[in-house]
Amino acid sequence: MNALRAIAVHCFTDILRSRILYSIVAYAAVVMLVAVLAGEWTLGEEVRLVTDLGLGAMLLFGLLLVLTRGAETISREVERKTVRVMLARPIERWHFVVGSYLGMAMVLLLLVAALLAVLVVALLPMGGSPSWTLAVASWGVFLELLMVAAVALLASNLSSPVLATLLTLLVVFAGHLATGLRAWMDGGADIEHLSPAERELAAAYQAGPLNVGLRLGYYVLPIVAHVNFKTEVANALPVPVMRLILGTAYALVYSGIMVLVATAVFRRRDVS
Amino acid sequence: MVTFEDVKKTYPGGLERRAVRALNGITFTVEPGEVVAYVGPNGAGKTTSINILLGLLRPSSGRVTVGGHLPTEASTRARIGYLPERPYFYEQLSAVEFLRLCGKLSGLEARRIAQRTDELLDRLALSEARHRRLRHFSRGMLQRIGLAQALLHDPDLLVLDEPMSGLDPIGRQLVREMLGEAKTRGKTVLYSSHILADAELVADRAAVLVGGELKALASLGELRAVSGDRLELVLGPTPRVTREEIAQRWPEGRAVGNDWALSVDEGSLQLIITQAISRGARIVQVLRPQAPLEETLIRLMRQSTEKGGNA
Ligand SMILES: Nc1ncnc2c1ncn2[C@@H]1O[C@H](COP(=O)(O)OP(=O)(O)OP(=O)(O)O)[C@@H](O)[C@H]1O
Ligand SMILES: [Mg+2]
Repeated sequence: MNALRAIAVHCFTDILRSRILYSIVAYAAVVMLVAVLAGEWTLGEEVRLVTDLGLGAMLLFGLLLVLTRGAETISREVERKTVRVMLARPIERWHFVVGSYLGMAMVLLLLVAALLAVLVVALLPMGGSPSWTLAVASWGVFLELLMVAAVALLASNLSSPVLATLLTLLVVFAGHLATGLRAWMDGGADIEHLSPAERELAAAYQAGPLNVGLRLGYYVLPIVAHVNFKTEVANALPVPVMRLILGTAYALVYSGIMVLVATAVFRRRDVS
Repeated sequence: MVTFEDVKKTYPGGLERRAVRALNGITFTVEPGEVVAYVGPNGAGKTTSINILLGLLRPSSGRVTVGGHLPTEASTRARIGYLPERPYFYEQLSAVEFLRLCGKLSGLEARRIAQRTDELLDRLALSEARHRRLRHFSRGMLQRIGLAQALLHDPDLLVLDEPMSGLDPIGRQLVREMLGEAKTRGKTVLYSSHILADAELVADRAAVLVGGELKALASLGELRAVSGDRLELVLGPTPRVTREEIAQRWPEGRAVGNDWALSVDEGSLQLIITQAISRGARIVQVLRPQAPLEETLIRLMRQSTEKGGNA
């Protein structure tokens, strides 16, 4: 456990030290300030607009960090050969993988907390009171980032940093589209709007192996809708506690599985 | 302490790379308390086998054990201090921070880490630079910090991949001293080196690796003994014969003080001695010259490259 903590702290400080995080925080702060200014012109709707933009920016900058740093967690250390002195010491390989991930997770938590603070401060002059829902929505953003970081960790284990970034980006996109994909697969309400030819196609698809493949793909993707509480916030509705718990559990289990797979891959790897 | 059992390693090929067979079945044992120099030409497979010994690489077949345990077990590596061939360390850390991280990973207590850090930085003449980032370290300073982290947890087995590289003469002397100390304290050392003069000074035995095969594993004396069948015969002048007269008779010798030294092969020794005595010369000494290890090894390496492409 000591080794795990040492590695996590090492990765945490390593990311904090790279100026990338400072620039992200600074830039995000600027964006939120701009949002505040923009809010001045949209009478009545400022709070809603700024909240929306703020949460969006939070996700965007988190993703930026994960895609730049997270997607090279493993490959960077292996390529720079710095990992060798670590792995030659009496630590298990999974300590390194899980420790790196935990370090990243701590940075993400810090980032989201910092941006939430900026957002709350930005909202105050407009009469937006710091609400519980805003915190919950930020927590959702953090959970999404956790999942993406887990995907990035696995990707960085399988390929070069550039490829890993692309792969992660792809998975994030797909994860955002996944809910729509699911509805289509299940032949939900939308099917009524289809032309007869399209309907036939959809029916054939639902019977065929493509369906199975896509369904599998669906379960591999991080379904971000499970942890997206922004709609509730935008409409000033409370987030049901059950939805919060289930969403959190889903994100943690999904991330856990990804980290587990990454560990299994790294265990057998040659680091020369 | 360390046992290599028919260890083979082939680096897998790829689309544009051919597979490389780096180790072709090496078998040897390093006894506890022994200092073994690992020598061989560039690309012989020294680093590859050391990486396998550390569990960083998996052998394609065969196995390496340390005290009977596989290096893939973390507890095995707790007993090993390792200096990598190239000092790639976390360059954003300072010397002290780096050693602290290493100590924590080895499970040392904070107090012990601080104490060992002070000792080692002092010993390796890095005290001045203790808070400097490794990014700003010179090549030799990085080598020294690498040695410090290898020694930090006072391991039973030191595995050093070219410990002398990048060091100035004082640094090399220091490494020799430290190896000597490790030996007197009963530690086992396996270190690769291209500087054979150092190997001669410090090592008990040398393992000669050429082309992924172990060509010799012997004490340095034995290695030299293989070195040839030429003997040196030294003849001295007497009232009956001068050195110049001896030199005239055997012109292919050289002057050693007042005497004349000849290199003769074993077979003709008897005859030349008889002739020399009959001419009135004095036999000063006959000896088997010790070729420097360097020459011996160069010959071993050449032999095996000539014998076949494989070696
Ligand atoms: N990662 C790798 N992939 C492919 N081939 C490799 C790899 N690492 C080493 N080799 C090859 O394996 C062989 C042995 O290399 P190794 O580094 O073990 O030699 P060495 O004895 O340490 O040499 P040196 O004295 O130059 O350090 C060489 O032919 C080398 O090209
Ligand atoms: Mg080498």
